[in-house]
Amino acid sequence: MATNPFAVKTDDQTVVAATEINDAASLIPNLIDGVAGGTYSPSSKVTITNLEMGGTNRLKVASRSIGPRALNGQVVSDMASANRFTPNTANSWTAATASASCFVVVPLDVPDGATITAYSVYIDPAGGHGALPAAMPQILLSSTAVATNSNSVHKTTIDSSANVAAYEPFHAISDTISLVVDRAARRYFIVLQSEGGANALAGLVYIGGTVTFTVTNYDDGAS
Amino acid sequence: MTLARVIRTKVTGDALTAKETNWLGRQLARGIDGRGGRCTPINKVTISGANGLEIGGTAKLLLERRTHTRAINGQVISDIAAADTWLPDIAGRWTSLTTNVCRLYHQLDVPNGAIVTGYSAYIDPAAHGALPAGMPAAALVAVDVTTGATTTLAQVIDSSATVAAFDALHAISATSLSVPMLRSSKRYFIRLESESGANAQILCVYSGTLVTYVLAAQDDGAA
Repeated sequence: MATNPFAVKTDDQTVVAATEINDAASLIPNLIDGVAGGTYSPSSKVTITNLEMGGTNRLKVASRSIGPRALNGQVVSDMASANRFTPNTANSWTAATASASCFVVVPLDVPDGATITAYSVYIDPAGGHGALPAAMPQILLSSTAVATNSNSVHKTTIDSSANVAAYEPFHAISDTISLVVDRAARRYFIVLQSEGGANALAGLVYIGGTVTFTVTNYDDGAS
Repeated sequence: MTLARVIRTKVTGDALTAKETNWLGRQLARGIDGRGGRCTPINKVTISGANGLEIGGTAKLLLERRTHTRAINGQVISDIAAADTWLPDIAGRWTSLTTNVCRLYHQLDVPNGAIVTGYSAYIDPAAHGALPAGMPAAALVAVDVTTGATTTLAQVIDSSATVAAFDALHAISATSLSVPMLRSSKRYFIRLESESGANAQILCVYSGTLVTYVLAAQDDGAA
């Protein structure tokens, strides 16, 4: 912290020493310009205990990629349907049937204004496939506009495993995108649909997912 | 950019010119006042480097009072084991299955300290011959996890005046609320109750809830 470069003056002592002026002048470049703004690299962190973002401004951050982050929202499936995923004690979810109608919905806890750039869903298919399923598992990056009840599938990604040996081990279905999050109107989620058709087996396990996104502001509050 | 030093180095006996004095005063007035506060830079202030900016003590980053509307993105759950339930679909929406009262709970992911001023739960009912005897309702509910006490903070019954108004996609809205989010001990959710009784129909679709809240500080989000 800077200290006052001027010695305390009295009414009959108005002379300012050269060293005082020099010290004062040398402090000026250290000040943060509150009018013009600017870029500063302090030699130690700036600590302010009473800092407010005025107007409707957010705290800006230099554009940065966050993640991958494991999705932490609660998964849901249609538990009344025979074609469902069921949870287990590890909170992974298992497809009850060999049907592409088995699905789980995983909410995306990504802040408003972020840009989603990549995402993955990790699955562990059952063993014993004689051949690849006719309908491979797929993931849908989706959102619903709440006030219009309109669902948008922003991207669909089909498991691209080339053969049974690649498909059966634990692996990810991944994709990239550039999708700006609009939480003022929409809620976001990933849907996993299980394998189906010829050669499909029950028992595909949903382990979890990750998302990577870019931010230029801190959101107003953690989601 | 930093404030420049334009006062030339002084030695004893040098005069401080009027120009230099004026400059000194102007520069001092531009610096961010770490005691008196408030400034409005015309360009952004960037704190770069490894040291960065810290909010001291236990203070939060303050936000000039602002209002946000957000699609809540938390967990949605219903009593799946009961006949009177809502079921999820692959578009992330939920559909009522009986004409008894079905309850749906949507977790409210609003920051600690925010003040909820309103919410709108959007539903799209099936076609009706007449208005249901029991109209749907949407409530804001809190559970104090330390005591188990459940409190209904607001509840609004669907006020659609006609079948045409009711059958269309519409919101059940609460306004003029002032409910602070006290997340140190409470969790919050929207509780949606389906239509019931005479003239009630199944297959009402819930697309989500928009919540409006006022913020005056950033929540203690992830570091």
